[in-house]
Amino acid sequence: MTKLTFSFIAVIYILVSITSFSGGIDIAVQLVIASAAIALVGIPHGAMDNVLYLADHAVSPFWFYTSYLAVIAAYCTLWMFLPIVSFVLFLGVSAYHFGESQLSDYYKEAGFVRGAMFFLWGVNVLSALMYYNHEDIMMAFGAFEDASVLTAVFDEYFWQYALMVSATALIFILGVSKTKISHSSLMMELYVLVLIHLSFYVLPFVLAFTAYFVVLHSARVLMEEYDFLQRHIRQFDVKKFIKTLLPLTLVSLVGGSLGVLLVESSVLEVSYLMLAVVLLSLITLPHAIVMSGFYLRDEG
Amino acid sequence: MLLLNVVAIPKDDPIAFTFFTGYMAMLAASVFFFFERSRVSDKWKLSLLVSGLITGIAAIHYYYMRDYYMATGENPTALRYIDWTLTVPLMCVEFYLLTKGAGAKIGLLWKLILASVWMLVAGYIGEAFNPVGGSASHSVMWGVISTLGYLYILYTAWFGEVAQLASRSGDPLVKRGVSILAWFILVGWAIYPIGYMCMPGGWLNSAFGWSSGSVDLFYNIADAINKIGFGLVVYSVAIQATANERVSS
Repeated sequence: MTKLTFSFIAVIYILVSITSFSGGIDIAVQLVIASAAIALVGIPHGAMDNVLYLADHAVSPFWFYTSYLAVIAAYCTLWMFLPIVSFVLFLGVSAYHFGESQLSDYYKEAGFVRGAMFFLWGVNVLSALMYYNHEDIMMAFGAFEDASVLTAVFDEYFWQYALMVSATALIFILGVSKTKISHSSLMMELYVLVLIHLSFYVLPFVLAFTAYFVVLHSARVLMEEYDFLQRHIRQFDVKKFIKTLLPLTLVSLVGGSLGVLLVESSVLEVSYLMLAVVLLSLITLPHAIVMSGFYLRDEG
Repeated sequence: MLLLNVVAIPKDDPIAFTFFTGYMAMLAASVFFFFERSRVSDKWKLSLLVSGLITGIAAIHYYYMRDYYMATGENPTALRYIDWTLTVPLMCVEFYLLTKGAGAKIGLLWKLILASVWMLVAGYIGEAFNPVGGSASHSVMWGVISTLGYLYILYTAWFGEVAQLASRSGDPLVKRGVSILAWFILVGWAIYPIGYMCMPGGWLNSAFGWSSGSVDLFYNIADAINKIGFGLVVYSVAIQATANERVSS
């Protein structure tokens, strides 16, 4: 078990202790907690993409930033014309990215098995979230005219099916693949997956997903990024790390705030929920591409 | 004459069944551990004694819990917590005994005992002194306080003093033993909050209509696995270590 896994276990046990009797936490409170946690940990974990990529590739910063923004622009265009396809792409990329950050220690070399395990793990987690909280998610998206278009993706039976198929496929591939994971690591991964499922089932979905995303995913990636930079940059410490991730974190937060302002002033005629989904998807796609390269880097 | 006080066990009552089997299993395990003490080297005798005490104390309490359940059909909450308050700290003592050879100090023992008593007393206050009809704030507060004790023990076993001592011992048997016991804490002990959440107002009570009586079955099975299993892990380490010592001498 890593200390991060322990932190996740601790957070879930405390949240379950609190919510199991309190009759739920007000959605406004949940959104405040989620926003703060994502602003402090979630956004920063993706704010190192430029540093990570440029530290390992002989390209100019201009080329990197142009490509990064081009991906965002293309995805934004896709959202305008094909919102459901864009949302499905967002879910698919997120699933792969979540699985990659969780299992990359066991699968170092590129290949079908690696990709399949990452994708299936992420699908299992996302389908648990969707299936166990189907009613609440439908209600949340259904409350806004533009976001209600996306409810087509939330078919309950689809996510139930995805949950079962992904679990079965994971076990099957684990059994037949040549990559062998140690017994204790396998047990721990299974325990964590069960805990994720439990938290998605018991806790309000906003809180449950925030706990997973911030503690198990973002914090883990931040630690990996810190370890990498510490090995590649001399006299690199926590202070320098924070200074490094600050610029793009602030850009993201300012960009998000600008979006909220545009919605408030009716310049942008979208709901806040749709704005959040689109903005998050726009930074997820290029981030996932960069991180995919990061996890496949040759440390030799 | 001896049979006059025998209570009939309903065929469709798994809870009664497990109270009886739990009592006998714990008693049998105690006898086993006490007898097997003579087969291990001196430094392991105390560990096996403690294992025998854990299951022995549990056996006696299960004897009383069995009778209480058969007579009233109710969950023997007080007796369960009395049992846990004695046996859980003893389980923590096993961690100390396993790592004593690697330099564990008496302070570690007291910290673990304190944490386990904290966990259990807070849980008992939350469960037994819950106002009629259930009070969310009461249950939440004492549930969180109890969880903090559990998390301290979990941390100590996986990362803290116990884990570090086991790692420094250089003894693969001790490392394996501590690792398996740490898994018991992580998975085996996690079942106990289920009963807490079955209280009036609790999630399992509201969502599924589970009452404390519903989980007696899980508690009985979990207690047997956790206590006997715990002892068997210590026993296997002791037996193997004794065999190794005899081979090397």
